[in-house]
Amino acid sequence: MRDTLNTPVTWLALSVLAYEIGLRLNRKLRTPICNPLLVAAILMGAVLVLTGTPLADYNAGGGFLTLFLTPATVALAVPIYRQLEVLKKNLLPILAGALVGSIVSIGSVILLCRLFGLDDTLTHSLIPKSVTTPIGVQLSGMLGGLTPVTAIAIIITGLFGAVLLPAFLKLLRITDPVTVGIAIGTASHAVGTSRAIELGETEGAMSGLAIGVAGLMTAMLVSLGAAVL
Amino acid sequence: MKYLRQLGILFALCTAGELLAYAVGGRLPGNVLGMMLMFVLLCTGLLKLSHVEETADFFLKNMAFFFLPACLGILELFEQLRPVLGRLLLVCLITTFLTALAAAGTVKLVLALQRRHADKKEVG
Repeated sequence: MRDTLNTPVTWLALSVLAYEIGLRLNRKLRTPICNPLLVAAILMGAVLVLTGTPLADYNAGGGFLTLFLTPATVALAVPIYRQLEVLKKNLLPILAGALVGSIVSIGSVILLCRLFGLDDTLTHSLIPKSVTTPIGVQLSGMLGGLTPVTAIAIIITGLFGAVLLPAFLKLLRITDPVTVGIAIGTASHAVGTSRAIELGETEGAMSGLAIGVAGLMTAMLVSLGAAVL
Repeated sequence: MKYLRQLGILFALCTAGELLAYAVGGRLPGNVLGMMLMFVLLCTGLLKLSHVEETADFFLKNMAFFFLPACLGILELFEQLRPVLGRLLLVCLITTFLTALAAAGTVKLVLALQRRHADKKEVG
């Protein structure tokens, strides 16, 4: 019975179920803290631990999902193209904001990791933590970081951004919709953007554009850094 | 067939991205180059939105789901991470504020400069 159930398709079916539960909870509780992926990971993690299933068994099915991350990243070009007019109109603020934001993100991660005595592997895992998951995980792999740490750090960063950044910016009297949108999207990618959309149409569009542009900037900075160092 | 064809185009773009990554010596990830390539193809009209739209939207809408296996990789690392967990969270928290602050400050500056430039033009 156990062997019959321990198949790749079972794990795929359970993964979809866990994510569905996460989505429903998120919709019902209406709070970004209840992130569907985080809920799904906790549920699936509990199932694997309780049934004593080795991760390799799960990955026989899960690896199939990871395969689709590349086309999912390529698909990020579509929302940028759809907002082409908005991008052209605000090209300079978006490029400059995403570039400086990415530099500060990478720089502050390196500095704080040194300060807290975290090793190089962990530092490399956290360097791309502000950008969208598919780009961040890929960059972490290139740098020799631990990709699961990067994936989770990216979600947590998104949650911090979605929950705290709107109030933080308001506190600093930063209210211009273009500025708020670019700041949230650069610092906390799609999870933050889901909150920026609630603030207003311009905030949402700017934040959405900043996801792709900041991802690109960070990829270039990391590649440049790797070439120089 | 439509969805299958769209999926085929997306996979082809992924392959092209990997080839480009190889061409630049692996300095940029293939998926990012694939994304840039698709953006350029859309802008030049060589690729129409209708060639990829529904399948791309499916991936965008459900992107997070595909990261579930990546997140579960943490199970094998948990013991190793336990002593540094608090510090990792703190780094994430502080850098998120700093990043947003830097981006907001830069945008504010650029917008102010642009406005001043526009005003000067009007006066001149």
